[in-house]
Amino acid sequence: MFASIEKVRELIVGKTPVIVAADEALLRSLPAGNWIGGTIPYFMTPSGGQVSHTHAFVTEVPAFARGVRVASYDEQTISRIGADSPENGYTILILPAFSALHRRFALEAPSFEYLFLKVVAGWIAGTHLDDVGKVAPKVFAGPTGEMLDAKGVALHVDLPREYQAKIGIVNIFEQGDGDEIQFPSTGFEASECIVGGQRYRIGDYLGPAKIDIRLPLVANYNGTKCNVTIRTLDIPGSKITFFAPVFEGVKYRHAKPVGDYAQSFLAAIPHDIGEAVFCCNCVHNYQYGNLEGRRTGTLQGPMTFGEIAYQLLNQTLVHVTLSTRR
Amino acid sequence: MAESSRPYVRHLTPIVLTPGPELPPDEHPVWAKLIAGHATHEFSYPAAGMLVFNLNLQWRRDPSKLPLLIKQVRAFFQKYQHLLGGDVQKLFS
Repeated sequence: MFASIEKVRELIVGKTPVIVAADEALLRSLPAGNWIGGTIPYFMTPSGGQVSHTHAFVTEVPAFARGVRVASYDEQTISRIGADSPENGYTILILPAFSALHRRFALEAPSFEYLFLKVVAGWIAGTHLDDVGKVAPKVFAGPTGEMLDAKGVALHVDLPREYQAKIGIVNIFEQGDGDEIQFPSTGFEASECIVGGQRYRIGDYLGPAKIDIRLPLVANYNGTKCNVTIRTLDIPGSKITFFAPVFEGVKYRHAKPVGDYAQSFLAAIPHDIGEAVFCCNCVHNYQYGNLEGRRTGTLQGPMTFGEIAYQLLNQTLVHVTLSTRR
Repeated sequence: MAESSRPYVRHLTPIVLTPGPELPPDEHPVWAKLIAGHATHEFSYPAAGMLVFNLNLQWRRDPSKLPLLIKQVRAFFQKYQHLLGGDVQKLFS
Protein backbone atom coordinates (compact mmCIF):
# COMPACT_ATOMS: atom_id res chain seq x y z
CA MET A 1 0.00 0.00 0.00
CA PHE A 2 1.02 3.59 -0.59
CA ALA A 3 1.46 4.95 2.93
CA SER A 4 2.94 7.59 5.14
CA ILE A 5 6.31 6.79 6.70
CA GLU A 6 4.56 6.79 10.12
CA LYS A 7 2.37 3.92 8.94
CA VAL A 8 5.46 2.02 7.72
CA ARG A 9 7.15 2.61 11.08
CA GLU A 10 4.04 1.34 12.86
CA LEU A 11 4.10 -1.89 10.83
CA ILE A 12 7.82 -2.46 11.52
CA VAL A 13 7.46 -1.75 15.24
CA GLY A 14 4.45 -4.11 15.26
CA LYS A 15 6.80 -6.80 13.86
CA THR A 16 5.10 -7.15 10.47
CA PRO A 17 7.71 -8.11 7.88
CA VAL A 18 7.61 -5.59 5.03
CA ILE A 19 9.25 -4.53 1.78
CA VAL A 20 9.58 -0.74 1.51
CA ALA A 21 10.19 1.47 -1.50
CA ALA A 22 10.82 5.13 -0.70
CA ASP A 23 13.10 8.09 -0.86
CA GLU A 24 16.48 7.58 0.86
CA ALA A 25 15.79 10.00 3.71
CA LEU A 26 12.58 8.18 4.60
CA LEU A 27 14.23 4.76 4.55
CA ARG A 28 17.05 6.03 6.77
CA SER A 29 14.49 7.12 9.35
CA LEU A 30 12.98 3.64 9.79
CA PRO A 31 13.69 1.54 12.89
CA ALA A 32 15.44 -1.83 12.81
CA GLY A 33 13.14 -4.75 12.09
CA ASN A 34 12.18 -7.46 9.68
CA TRP A 35 12.20 -5.39 6.52
CA ILE A 36 14.12 -4.65 3.38
CA GLY A 37 13.99 -1.48 1.35
CA GLY A 38 15.21 0.23 -1.76
CA THR A 39 15.34 3.83 -2.92
CA ILE A 40 12.88 5.04 -5.54
CA PRO A 41 10.51 8.03 -5.61
CA TYR A 42 8.17 6.78 -8.39
CA PHE A 43 5.02 4.83 -7.57
CA MET A 44 1.84 3.46 -9.05
CA THR A 45 -0.77 4.18 -6.38
CA PRO A 46 -4.56 3.70 -6.18
CA SER A 47 -4.95 7.26 -7.46
CA GLY A 48 -2.45 6.83 -10.28
CA GLY A 49 1.24 7.26 -10.94
CA GLN A 50 3.08 9.75 -8.75
CA VAL A 51 6.47 10.96 -7.61
CA SER A 52 6.71 11.23 -3.85
CA HIS A 53 9.48 12.12 -1.42
CA THR A 54 7.12 11.96 1.56
CA HIS A 55 5.35 8.61 1.15
CA ALA A 56 6.45 5.02 0.73
CA PHE A 57 5.12 1.93 -0.97
CA VAL A 58 5.00 -0.79 1.65
CA THR A 59 4.26 -4.42 0.88
CA GLU A 60 3.39 -6.68 3.78
CA VAL A 61 4.26 -10.34 4.01
CA PRO A 62 1.06 -12.36 4.56
CA ALA A 63 0.44 -13.27 8.19
CA PHE A 64 0.23 -16.96 7.35
CA ALA A 65 3.88 -17.09 6.21
CA ARG A 66 5.86 -19.61 8.26
CA GLY A 67 8.78 -17.26 8.57
CA VAL A 68 10.95 -14.68 6.86
CA ARG A 69 14.69 -14.19 6.61
CA VAL A 70 16.59 -11.11 5.45
CA ALA A 71 19.90 -11.73 3.70
CA SER A 72 22.37 -9.49 1.90
CA TYR A 73 24.30 -10.49 -1.20
CA ASP A 74 27.45 -9.27 -2.89
CA GLU A 75 29.05 -10.13 -6.23
CA GLN A 76 30.51 -13.33 -4.81
CA THR A 77 27.37 -14.60 -3.09
CA ILE A 78 24.55 -13.50 -5.42
CA SER A 79 24.78 -16.79 -7.34
CA ARG A 80 23.33 -18.47 -4.20
CA ILE A 81 20.04 -16.56 -4.42
CA GLY A 82 18.17 -19.49 -5.98
CA ALA A 83 19.63 -22.02 -3.56
CA ASP A 84 18.81 -19.76 -0.57
CA SER A 85 15.22 -19.11 -1.69
CA PRO A 86 12.78 -21.31 0.27
CA GLU A 87 11.62 -24.57 -1.24
CA ASN A 88 8.02 -23.38 -0.92
CA GLY A 89 7.66 -19.62 -0.75
CA TYR A 90 9.12 -16.65 -2.52
CA THR A 91 12.05 -14.26 -2.43
CA ILE A 92 12.00 -10.53 -3.06
CA LEU A 93 15.40 -9.24 -4.12
CA ILE A 94 16.40 -5.56 -4.37
CA LEU A 95 19.66 -4.52 -6.03
CA PRO A 96 21.13 -1.01 -6.35
CA ALA A 97 21.10 0.26 -9.95
CA PHE A 98 24.40 0.75 -11.80
CA SER A 99 26.37 -1.28 -9.21
CA ALA A 100 28.75 -4.08 -10.16
CA LEU A 101 26.29 -6.43 -8.46
CA HIS A 102 23.45 -5.21 -10.70
CA ARG A 103 25.67 -5.92 -13.68
CA ARG A 104 26.70 -9.38 -12.50
CA PHE A 105 23.10 -10.36 -11.74
CA ALA A 106 21.91 -9.07 -15.12
CA LEU A 107 24.55 -11.03 -17.01
CA GLU A 108 24.63 -14.25 -15.05
CA ALA A 109 21.34 -14.81 -13.23
CA PRO A 110 19.89 -16.96 -16.04
CA SER A 111 22.44 -19.64 -15.20
CA PHE A 112 22.27 -19.40 -11.37
CA GLU A 113 21.55 -22.77 -9.79
CA TYR A 114 17.94 -23.50 -8.71
CA LEU A 115 16.79 -20.01 -9.76
CA PHE A 116 13.89 -21.18 -11.92
CA LEU A 117 12.90 -23.87 -9.43
CA LYS A 118 12.21 -21.16 -6.87
CA VAL A 119 10.20 -17.94 -6.98
CA VAL A 120 12.66 -15.05 -7.14
CA ALA A 121 11.23 -11.62 -7.99
CA GLY A 122 12.24 -8.09 -7.11
CA TRP A 123 13.46 -4.80 -8.46
CA ILE A 124 16.35 -2.47 -9.06
CA ALA A 125 16.56 0.49 -6.71
CA GLY A 126 17.01 3.88 -8.34
CA THR A 127 16.74 7.60 -7.81
CA HIS A 128 14.77 10.50 -9.19
CA LEU A 129 15.61 10.58 -12.91
CA ASP A 130 17.13 14.07 -12.46
CA ASP A 131 19.58 12.59 -9.93
CA VAL A 132 20.94 9.75 -12.08
CA GLY A 133 24.73 9.91 -11.92
CA LYS A 134 24.64 12.31 -8.96
CA VAL A 135 23.08 10.18 -6.21
CA ALA A 136 23.78 6.46 -5.79
CA PRO A 137 20.72 4.22 -5.45
CA LYS A 138 20.65 2.37 -2.11
CA VAL A 139 19.14 -0.71 -0.54
CA PHE A 140 18.45 -1.28 3.16
CA ALA A 141 18.70 -4.35 5.38
CA GLY A 142 16.15 -3.72 8.14
CA PRO A 143 17.46 -6.08 10.85
CA THR A 144 20.81 -4.30 11.00
CA GLY A 145 19.71 -0.91 9.67
CA GLU A 146 22.51 -1.10 7.08
CA MET A 147 22.29 1.16 4.03
CA LEU A 148 24.11 -0.41 1.07
CA ASP A 149 25.03 0.82 -2.40
CA ALA A 150 27.14 -2.13 -3.53
CA LYS A 151 25.20 -5.04 -2.04
CA GLY A 152 21.71 -6.37 -2.58
CA VAL A 153 19.10 -7.41 -0.02
CA ALA A 154 16.58 -10.21 -0.13
CA LEU A 155 13.56 -11.14 1.92
CA HIS A 156 13.04 -14.90 1.80
CA VAL A 157 9.44 -15.79 2.68
CA ASP A 158 8.73 -19.37 3.68
CA LEU A 159 5.10 -20.41 3.07
CA PRO A 160 3.11 -23.28 4.56
CA ARG A 161 2.72 -26.25 2.22
CA GLU A 162 -0.85 -25.38 1.29
CA TYR A 163 0.18 -22.17 -0.46
CA GLN A 164 2.17 -21.72 -3.63
CA ALA A 165 3.69 -18.51 -4.99
CA LYS A 166 3.83 -17.76 -8.68
CA ILE A 167 5.47 -14.97 -10.71
CA GLY A 168 3.48 -13.15 -13.37
CA ILE A 169 4.86 -10.88 -16.06
CA VAL A 170 2.80 -8.21 -17.83
CA ASN A 171 4.50 -6.90 -20.93
CA ILE A 172 2.57 -4.42 -23.06
CA PHE A 173 5.15 -4.56 -25.85
CA GLU A 174 5.04 -6.81 -28.89
CA GLN A 175 7.81 -7.51 -31.33
CA GLY A 176 7.50 -5.20 -34.34
CA ASP A 177 7.65 -6.21 -37.97
CA GLY A 178 11.21 -4.96 -38.50
CA ASP A 179 14.40 -6.96 -38.93
CA GLU A 180 15.61 -9.54 -36.46
CA ILE A 181 18.64 -8.03 -34.76
CA GLN A 182 21.39 -10.00 -33.02
CA PHE A 183 24.48 -8.82 -31.19
CA PRO A 184 27.96 -10.32 -31.55
CA SER A 185 28.54 -10.42 -27.80
CA THR A 186 26.64 -10.30 -24.51
CA GLY A 187 26.67 -6.98 -22.69
CA PHE A 188 25.10 -3.65 -21.80
CA GLU A 189 26.45 -1.97 -24.93
CA ALA A 190 27.20 -2.74 -28.54
CA SER A 191 28.95 -1.08 -31.45
CA GLU A 192 27.90 -3.69 -34.00
CA CYS A 193 24.83 -5.76 -34.73
CA ILE A 194 24.02 -8.72 -36.98
CA VAL A 195 21.03 -8.52 -39.30
CA GLY A 196 20.23 -11.19 -41.88
CA GLY A 197 23.58 -12.82 -41.15
CA GLN A 198 25.46 -9.64 -42.02
CA ARG A 199 27.45 -7.56 -39.53
CA TYR A 200 26.76 -3.80 -39.42
CA ARG A 201 28.13 -0.88 -37.43
CA ILE A 202 25.32 0.29 -35.14
CA GLY A 203 25.48 3.79 -36.61
CA ASP A 204 25.21 2.49 -40.17
CA TYR A 205 22.30 0.18 -39.42
CA LEU A 206 20.26 2.23 -36.95
CA GLY A 207 21.10 5.69 -38.27
CA PRO A 208 18.89 5.61 -41.36
CA ALA A 209 16.14 3.73 -39.49
CA LYS A 210 15.58 6.67 -37.05
CA ILE A 211 14.21 4.33 -34.39
CA ASP A 212 12.25 5.53 -31.38
CA ILE A 213 14.55 4.62 -28.48
CA ARG A 214 11.66 4.81 -26.01
CA LEU A 215 10.54 1.46 -27.41
CA PRO A 216 12.51 -1.56 -26.19
CA LEU A 217 14.10 -4.41 -28.08
CA VAL A 218 11.91 -7.48 -27.53
CA ALA A 219 13.07 -11.11 -27.55
CA ASN A 220 10.74 -14.09 -27.59
CA TYR A 221 11.82 -16.59 -24.91
CA ASN A 222 9.64 -19.50 -26.02
CA GLY A 223 6.44 -17.51 -25.61
CA THR A 224 7.63 -15.06 -22.94
CA LYS A 225 8.47 -11.63 -24.28
CA CYS A 226 11.60 -10.16 -22.64
CA ASN A 227 12.45 -6.49 -23.18
CA VAL A 228 15.74 -4.64 -23.19
CA THR A 229 15.42 -0.86 -22.80
CA ILE A 230 17.68 1.31 -24.92
CA ARG A 231 19.59 3.74 -22.72
CA THR A 232 21.49 5.76 -25.31
CA LEU A 233 22.02 5.64 -29.04
CA ASP A 234 25.04 7.45 -30.45
CA ILE A 235 24.80 7.28 -34.23
CA PRO A 236 28.07 9.14 -35.12
CA GLY A 237 29.95 7.16 -32.43
CA SER A 238 28.20 3.96 -33.51
CA LYS A 239 27.34 2.89 -29.99
CA ILE A 240 24.14 1.72 -28.34
CA THR A 241 23.79 1.17 -24.58
CA PHE A 242 21.07 -0.68 -22.68
CA PHE A 243 19.51 -0.85 -19.21
CA ALA A 244 19.75 -4.67 -19.30
CA PRO A 245 22.17 -6.81 -21.27
CA VAL A 246 21.57 -8.10 -24.75
CA PHE A 247 22.67 -11.73 -25.05
CA GLU A 248 24.76 -13.20 -27.83
CA GLY A 249 22.69 -15.54 -29.97
CA VAL A 250 19.33 -14.03 -28.98
CA LYS A 251 17.15 -12.55 -31.73
CA TYR A 252 15.57 -9.18 -30.92
CA ARG A 253 13.08 -7.01 -32.74
CA HIS A 254 12.33 -3.39 -32.03
CA ALA A 255 8.91 -3.13 -30.34
CA LYS A 256 5.73 -1.98 -32.04
CA PRO A 257 4.61 1.46 -30.84
CA VAL A 258 2.20 1.53 -27.89
CA GLY A 259 -0.58 4.11 -28.11
CA ASP A 260 -1.78 4.51 -24.55
CA TYR A 261 0.34 2.83 -21.86
CA ALA A 262 -2.29 3.08 -19.10
CA GLN A 263 -5.00 1.53 -21.30
CA SER A 264 -2.57 -1.14 -22.48
CA PHE A 265 -1.78 -2.16 -18.90
CA LEU A 266 -5.46 -2.18 -17.98
CA ALA A 267 -6.11 -4.51 -20.90
CA ALA A 268 -3.06 -6.73 -20.30
CA ILE A 269 -3.35 -7.34 -16.55
CA PRO A 270 -5.25 -10.58 -15.99
CA HIS A 271 -8.44 -10.11 -13.96
CA ASP A 272 -8.39 -13.46 -12.18
CA ILE A 273 -5.03 -13.35 -10.40
CA GLY A 274 -6.24 -12.15 -7.01
CA GLU A 275 -4.23 -9.82 -4.83
CA ALA A 276 -0.51 -9.65 -5.43
CA VAL A 277 1.95 -10.12 -2.54
CA PHE A 278 4.43 -8.16 -4.61
CA CYS A 279 4.33 -5.92 -7.66
CA CYS A 280 6.61 -3.47 -9.41
CA ASN A 281 6.61 -1.74 -12.77
CA CYS A 282 9.27 0.09 -14.76
CA VAL A 283 10.12 3.76 -14.41
CA HIS A 284 10.43 3.94 -18.20
CA ASN A 285 6.81 2.96 -18.54
CA TYR A 286 6.06 5.78 -16.08
CA GLN A 287 8.23 8.23 -18.00
CA TYR A 288 7.54 7.27 -21.61
CA GLY A 289 3.88 6.40 -21.00
CA ASN A 290 3.16 9.65 -19.12
CA LEU A 291 1.64 7.66 -16.26
CA GLU A 292 1.74 10.51 -13.74
CA GLY A 293 -1.81 10.77 -12.40
CA ARG A 294 -2.97 7.83 -14.50
CA ARG A 295 -4.06 4.42 -13.21
CA THR A 296 -2.98 1.08 -14.60
CA GLY A 297 -5.31 -1.22 -12.66
CA THR A 298 -5.22 -3.03 -9.36
CA LEU A 299 -1.56 -4.02 -9.45
CA GLN A 300 0.37 -1.23 -7.72
CA GLY A 301 3.88 -0.74 -6.42
CA PRO A 302 7.14 1.08 -7.05
CA MET A 303 8.13 2.10 -10.60
CA THR A 304 11.71 0.91 -10.71
CA PHE A 305 15.02 0.92 -12.60
CA GLY A 306 14.56 -2.70 -13.61
CA GLU A 307 12.33 -5.60 -12.66
CA ILE A 308 13.39 -9.04 -11.50
CA ALA A 309 11.39 -12.08 -12.52
CA TYR A 310 14.10 -14.73 -12.08
CA GLN A 311 16.35 -12.57 -14.26
CA LEU A 312 16.53 -8.85 -14.98
CA LEU A 313 13.74 -7.46 -17.16
CA ASN A 314 12.99 -3.97 -18.49
CA GLN A 315 9.79 -2.03 -19.21
CA THR A 316 7.70 -4.79 -17.66
CA LEU A 317 5.26 -5.21 -14.77
CA VAL A 318 6.19 -8.10 -12.47
CA HIS A 319 3.92 -9.52 -9.78
CA VAL A 320 3.85 -12.41 -7.35
CA THR A 321 0.54 -13.99 -6.43
CA LEU A 322 -0.36 -16.91 -4.21
CA SER A 323 -2.56 -19.91 -4.79
CA THR A 324 -3.90 -22.45 -2.33
CA ARG A 325 -3.53 -26.21 -2.71
CA ARG A 326 -6.74 -28.00 -1.85
CA MET B 1 4.78 -13.42 13.36
CA ALA B 2 2.70 -10.27 13.71
CA GLU B 3 -0.73 -10.11 12.14
CA SER B 4 -0.68 -8.63 8.65
CA SER B 5 -3.25 -5.93 8.09
CA ARG B 6 -3.86 -7.35 4.61
CA PRO B 7 -5.93 -10.54 4.64
CA TYR B 8 -4.41 -11.92 1.44
CA VAL B 9 -6.03 -15.28 2.12
CA ARG B 10 -9.46 -14.18 0.94
CA HIS B 11 -8.09 -13.40 -2.51
CA LEU B 12 -6.22 -16.62 -3.13
CA THR B 13 -6.96 -18.65 -6.21
CA PRO B 14 -7.09 -22.41 -5.70
CA ILE B 15 -4.66 -24.74 -7.44
CA VAL B 16 -6.43 -27.71 -8.95
CA LEU B 17 -4.26 -30.60 -7.86
CA THR B 18 -5.28 -33.20 -10.40
CA PRO B 19 -2.37 -35.61 -10.45
CA GLY B 20 -0.94 -35.52 -13.96
CA PRO B 21 0.55 -38.46 -15.78
CA GLU B 22 4.12 -39.43 -14.92
CA LEU B 23 6.59 -37.24 -16.82
CA PRO B 24 8.67 -39.04 -19.46
CA PRO B 25 12.16 -40.03 -18.23
CA ASP B 26 15.31 -37.98 -18.90
CA GLU B 27 16.07 -40.24 -21.88
CA HIS B 28 12.90 -39.24 -23.77
CA PRO B 29 14.11 -37.47 -26.95
CA VAL B 30 11.75 -34.51 -26.54
CA TRP B 31 13.72 -33.19 -23.53
CA ALA B 32 16.90 -33.02 -25.63
CA LYS B 33 15.02 -31.49 -28.57
CA LEU B 34 13.56 -28.86 -26.25
CA ILE B 35 16.97 -27.89 -24.87
CA ALA B 36 18.58 -27.87 -28.32
CA GLY B 37 15.81 -25.66 -29.69
CA HIS B 38 14.65 -28.34 -32.13
CA ALA B 39 11.20 -28.58 -30.58
CA THR B 40 9.77 -25.08 -30.80
CA HIS B 41 7.02 -24.44 -28.32
CA GLU B 42 5.46 -21.33 -26.79
CA PHE B 43 4.81 -22.05 -23.12
CA SER B 44 1.71 -20.95 -21.26
CA TYR B 45 3.71 -20.28 -18.06
CA PRO B 46 6.32 -17.48 -18.49
CA ALA B 47 8.94 -19.08 -16.25
CA ALA B 48 8.92 -22.22 -18.42
CA GLY B 49 9.62 -20.24 -21.58
CA MET B 50 12.42 -18.31 -19.90
CA LEU B 51 14.00 -21.42 -18.41
CA VAL B 52 13.97 -23.44 -21.64
CA PHE B 53 15.32 -20.47 -23.58
CA ASN B 54 18.16 -19.95 -21.09
CA LEU B 55 18.99 -23.66 -21.04
CA ASN B 56 19.23 -23.53 -24.82
CA LEU B 57 21.76 -20.67 -24.56
CA GLN B 58 23.78 -22.71 -22.04
CA TRP B 59 23.62 -25.79 -24.29
CA ARG B 60 24.89 -23.75 -27.26
CA ARG B 61 27.89 -22.67 -25.18
CA ASP B 62 28.61 -26.21 -23.97
CA PRO B 63 26.68 -29.11 -25.58
CA SER B 64 28.30 -31.61 -23.18
CA LYS B 65 26.08 -30.17 -20.42
CA LEU B 66 22.96 -31.64 -22.05
CA PRO B 67 22.24 -34.36 -19.42
CA LEU B 68 22.52 -31.79 -16.62
CA LEU B 69 20.27 -29.32 -18.46
CA ILE B 70 17.67 -32.05 -19.07
CA LYS B 71 17.64 -32.79 -15.32
CA GLN B 72 16.97 -29.11 -14.65
CA VAL B 73 14.09 -28.77 -17.10
CA ARG B 74 12.52 -32.04 -15.96
CA ALA B 75 12.76 -30.99 -12.28
CA PHE B 76 11.01 -27.73 -13.22
CA PHE B 77 8.24 -29.57 -15.08
CA GLN B 78 7.85 -31.88 -12.07
CA LYS B 79 7.43 -28.98 -9.66
CA TYR B 80 5.03 -27.00 -11.84
CA GLN B 81 3.16 -29.92 -13.39
CA HIS B 82 -0.20 -28.39 -12.42
CA LEU B 83 0.61 -25.30 -14.53
CA LEU B 84 2.18 -27.14 -17.45
CA GLY B 85 -0.34 -29.91 -18.12
CA GLY B 86 -1.33 -28.48 -21.53
CA ASP B 87 2.29 -27.94 -22.53
CA VAL B 88 3.29 -31.49 -21.53
CA GLN B 89 0.41 -32.87 -23.56
CA LYS B 90 1.41 -30.88 -26.67
CA LEU B 91 5.10 -31.63 -26.35
CA PHE B 92 4.96 -35.36 -25.65
CA SER B 93 1.90 -36.59 -27.51
